[in-house]
Amino acid sequence: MGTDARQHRDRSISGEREVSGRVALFGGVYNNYLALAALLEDAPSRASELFCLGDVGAFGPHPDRSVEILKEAGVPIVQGNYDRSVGLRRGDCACGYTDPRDNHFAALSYAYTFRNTSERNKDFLATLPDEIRLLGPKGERILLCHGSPRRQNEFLWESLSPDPFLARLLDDARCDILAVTHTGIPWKRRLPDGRLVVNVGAIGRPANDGQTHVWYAVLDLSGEAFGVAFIPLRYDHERLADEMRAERIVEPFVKTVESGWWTTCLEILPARERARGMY
Amino acid sequence: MNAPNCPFLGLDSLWIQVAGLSCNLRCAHCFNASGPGNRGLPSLSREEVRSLLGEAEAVGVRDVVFTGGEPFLHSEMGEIAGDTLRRFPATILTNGTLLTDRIVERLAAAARGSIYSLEVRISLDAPSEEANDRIRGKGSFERALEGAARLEEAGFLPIVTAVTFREESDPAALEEFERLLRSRGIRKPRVKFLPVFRVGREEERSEGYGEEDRVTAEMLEILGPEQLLCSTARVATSRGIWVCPILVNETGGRMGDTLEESFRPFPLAYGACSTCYRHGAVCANAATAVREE
Repeated sequence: MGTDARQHRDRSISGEREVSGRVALFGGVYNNYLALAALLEDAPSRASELFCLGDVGAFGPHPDRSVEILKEAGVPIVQGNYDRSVGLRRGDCACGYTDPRDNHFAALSYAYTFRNTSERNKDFLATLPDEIRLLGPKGERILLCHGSPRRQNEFLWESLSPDPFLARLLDDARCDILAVTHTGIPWKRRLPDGRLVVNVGAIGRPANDGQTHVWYAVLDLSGEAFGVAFIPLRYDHERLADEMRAERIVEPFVKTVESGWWTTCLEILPARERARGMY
Repeated sequence: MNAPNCPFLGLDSLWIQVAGLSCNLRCAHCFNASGPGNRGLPSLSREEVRSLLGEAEAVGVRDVVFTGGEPFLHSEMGEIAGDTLRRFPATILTNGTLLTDRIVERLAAAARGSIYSLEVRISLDAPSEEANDRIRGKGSFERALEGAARLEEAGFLPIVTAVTFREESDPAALEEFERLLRSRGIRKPRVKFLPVFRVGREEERSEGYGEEDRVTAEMLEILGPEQLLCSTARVATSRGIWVCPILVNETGGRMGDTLEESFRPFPLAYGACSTCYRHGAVCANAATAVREE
């Protein structure tokens, strides 16, 4: 860490929570309370603390269940665009899609989530913080946010994030480790200066890789240099699909849960990520 | 009326007018009046582009977009794409008619060697030959589709961009384009509609912009500067840095000799600014972020 970095850290040290060892990071719950429950079973054996990077709602069934589970477990949550929209009783999810059909499907899942989230839980989602700052054992400044440090709904895709751009984001946000979600596809990048960017993916839907499991990340602060690993998370996806159908959630969403391939919200994908998927 | 200033928020997208305004087509609606024999803006050399990429790296650019004119009139476009993809995601805006096997193979090699996306955007303005060629010139429909098919064979996912003269994107038109592309073997058709900018050759065809077509300070306040491409992009040309690709024929759009000099607010004094405002930084592939309303 350079002198500049140290100075920034000294200025922003107050209010940062200290963490060490291994920390589990997950995002994009998207109402998938079954995957969330599986995560709460799986993660404690790998990490001492858990953090949620936002978007509790969308896509899946019974939104209140995920909110209640997170509250019950006392997991700190960063606010995602979905949480903000539902919390502030906005008309749409502010997901950031630009294609009319992507927006059509986004509107369907937003309407379902909005309708089925209790007033109490909406109030709770409205109070979530924009970002969480942590301090590692060697003074690593860790920033957890939803989309990017500069915008809650900015998509950080692997194939659209060159190193100098990421370095600029980290400089501006004054951090050494940046963790985000929002895109739903996990990736990580070690910058030439050793700093780290990780997109933790989503536990709410598969990563468009033809696999039914979902992903979260474990940040390891215990060694000489920090690192991050992605953990595949299996859950009862057939039960989720059944419950989605029972709730009359549109079939393309259910198909994604069953097949591991994205069927909607495809137009936002850059060429490289789109090429990997089935559709 | 005083034009409001669009603040500059940092350079996310560097556009490069790599082939100047030279083009093998002469489309009826071309916003910068590119065409055969248009020497208004010389092309940039591979060396000049490399130097720009160095500047872009220093300021943390997110992606590089090549435009013209027709970029594939540049004899070294394949090599330039390779230079770029080593460091940045890249997009090439093309009319698709010059995509020979040789150039497509060069692009594929450049893309294979990179972790970043290479987007190729092909312009097609109607899903039928007759309607398209009326705007873009005889034979352009078939040749663009052949180019798209070659890209598909090489593993690319070309984005077809269509200038639409309607206010709203039309789901039926979208389906027609997709049907057409599928019939040419393109398995994942990607279609993007663009609004018409009433400048360049289009200004002669339609009425251009009126005094009422302006972004006001109030409008800028409502949606914010992120709505406009000029808050996060600049265009490099052989004659200096311009504020956006639409205004390269306006002397008032010139921002300086170097990128660094161009990093300052821009007065939204042009009618075209109102189109960008209404449609939201339309020149980008897909908005990476959309401001909440």
